[in-house]
Amino acid sequence: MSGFAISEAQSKKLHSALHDLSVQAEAKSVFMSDRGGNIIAQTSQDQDGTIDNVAALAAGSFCATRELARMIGEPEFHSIFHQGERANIYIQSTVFDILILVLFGKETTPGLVKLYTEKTCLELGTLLEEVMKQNAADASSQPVTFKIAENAQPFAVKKGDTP
Amino acid sequence: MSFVNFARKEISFKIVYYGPPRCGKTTNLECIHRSIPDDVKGQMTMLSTQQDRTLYFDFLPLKSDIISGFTSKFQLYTVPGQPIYNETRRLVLNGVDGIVFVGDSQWSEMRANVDSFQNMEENLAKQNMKLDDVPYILQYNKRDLPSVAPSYYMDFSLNRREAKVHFFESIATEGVGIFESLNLISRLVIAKFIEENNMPVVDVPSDVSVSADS
Repeated sequence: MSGFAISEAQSKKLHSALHDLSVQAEAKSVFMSDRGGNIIAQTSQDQDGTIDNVAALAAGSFCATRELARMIGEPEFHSIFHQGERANIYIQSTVFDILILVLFGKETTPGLVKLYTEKTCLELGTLLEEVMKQNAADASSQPVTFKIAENAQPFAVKKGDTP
Repeated sequence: MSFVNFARKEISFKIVYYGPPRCGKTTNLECIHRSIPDDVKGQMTMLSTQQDRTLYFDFLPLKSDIISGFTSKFQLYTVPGQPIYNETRRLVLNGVDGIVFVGDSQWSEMRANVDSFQNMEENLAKQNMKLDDVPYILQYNKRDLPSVAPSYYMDFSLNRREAKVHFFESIATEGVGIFESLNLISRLVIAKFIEENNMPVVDVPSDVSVSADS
């Protein structure tokens, strides 16, 4: 595999770990992304169509924070916390540049969220190593053939519209 | 870097619009967002200064069913063109799968085009990537303005590498050449993805091959 791939079984395990974190920390939503902002697993559905944007911004924010850290002599900040009046985001990095994002409200506290997120990150280490090993070992063993849909254009303009 | 989620039947690709300041990168994304059907687009996020210049990046997620049985998610990013934001440009290029280099066709911007192209190569090198390994196309924008260089001159300036790439003339404010650029880079990215995974390529349109316009 040229990039990074996860199987259905691995995806279920990741989802289960994030679900446990969500319950324990009393979070509204938890999701996992890579540093490129690709969603790897999530606990809730993307009802308002913004989850990709949130992941992209969080990944960008974390990359910028890494540069800030470097400029003051730190290899990296492992977590960032954005505090609002009603909603908050806690982001923590774990192995292989994977990010855990926890969205939470007033029902819980930043300390509790941080505590359980760190615990989850430790637990996820083994699973993520397994994912990466499988990716490195032989990606071509995936029993899937990718085919381009016949006569398909990736994107078209709205019907009756010219760009 | 492409990402495949077999559980969700999703494949994600990252496409970056690169180019000099005020060349029309954001206008490309605005045009796509305005003209593409609602069911295949997400929200467009723009991180701009008070003067409407891109500060960090613009972001537009799109979905396509171009790969059978999977949802292909294309994450479109722009970079900020201004020289002071080079660190941001480098970060946005991280994990890129395909690039649309937007050149400003005005004679006055020829130096800026070349500088930006060189800057793109340098920033890829900092990510341990080479332009030869990344599908990219050229888009010569602002063709409607009065003082523009002919396409062959733009090509002479920007399409100088051994492997020539496809270019499109465009007027981003009117949508000319925008979807042609988007579709070609998307198909090049997918063709490379399939090729790298050692899978048989089925029904790839003939114009996916990299060639220069004449």
